[in-house]
Amino acid sequence: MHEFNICLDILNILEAQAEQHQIHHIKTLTLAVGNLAGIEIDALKFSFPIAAAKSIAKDCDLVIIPVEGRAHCSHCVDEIVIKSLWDACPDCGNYDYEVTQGKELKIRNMEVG
Amino acid sequence: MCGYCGCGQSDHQHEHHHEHDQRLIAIEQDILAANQDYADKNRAYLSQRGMLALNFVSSPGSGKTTLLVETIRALGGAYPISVIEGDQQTDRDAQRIAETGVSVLQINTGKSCHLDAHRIGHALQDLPLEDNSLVFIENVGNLVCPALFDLGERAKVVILSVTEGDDKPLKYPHMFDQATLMIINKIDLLPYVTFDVDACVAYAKRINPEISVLKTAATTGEGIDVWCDWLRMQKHNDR
Repeated sequence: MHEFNICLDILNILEAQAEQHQIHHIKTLTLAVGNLAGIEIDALKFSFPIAAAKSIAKDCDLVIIPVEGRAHCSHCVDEIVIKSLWDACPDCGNYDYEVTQGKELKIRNMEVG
Repeated sequence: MCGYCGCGQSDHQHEHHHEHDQRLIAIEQDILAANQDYADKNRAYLSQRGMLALNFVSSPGSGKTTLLVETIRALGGAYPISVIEGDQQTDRDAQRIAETGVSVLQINTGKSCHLDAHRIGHALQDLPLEDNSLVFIENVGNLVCPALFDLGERAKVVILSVTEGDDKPLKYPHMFDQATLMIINKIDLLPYVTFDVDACVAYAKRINPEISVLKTAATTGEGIDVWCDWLRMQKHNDR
């Protein structure tokens, strides 16, 4: 389960931000997680409070904005929406496409108070 | 432009909080950026020294270590080789590699389920490495997590043994999406298992149309010559 390690990476970024902005507590943290990013959102939500227990993000609300998977189909040259990497193109049924969106794993912002 | 997320659209709504005792700080940072920075540094270092690094990924027990041992023997000293072994615990794999005479470093990841680029950076400093060598990185046996962590390798090689089932590319698509080459190993066991090689290749190509496929039986040596040719070709192209 790499989600716990991802939480530790998030906390490293938050601590650097906290120092920069002189923050002592984070109220809400907003992440953008692509549907194709290989991240299990439930596992991330489960891991985060444990990883953050002794940090500036203790008890903070975790908001996760899912990012839709999109790809460019090489056959019908359309931009398509895919839910997973094993989806066929909904228009032509082919699997040869280039993912253009949905692998994101980003911290968007934090609300401090 | 939207003053909140900077996305260039101004006609959409965010859930803004305007209480004056609260502040919203935009971060917009890739969570894996730190790993990516280390991976980029590793890649530059490897390239500068003319080394070809491959990241071997698979489930536990696919035969990665046996394949590496047989590969080192088959190449017969044509290239200097170093091996980085990743396992949660023990140095059993490193001992097997060391018996071939090449330099090897074992990383125990402890509670972590994958190798990351930071650890690989240290390993590249700690190992005795010759210029223009082959660097084999054997990742932790895990078809999920190592897919997310670039180590700075030239390519990921995914090994799938026939005892695991032909539908693994569909079940663990991220790894097969990331791999340049899939090696179907333990093909000597095909008569004893229900593994459809053609279906497996079709599933892998469904996830990743560009993926190359080789078949080996590391314990009998079958297919090792073709695999070594693939390695020689990569090494040649890397110059």
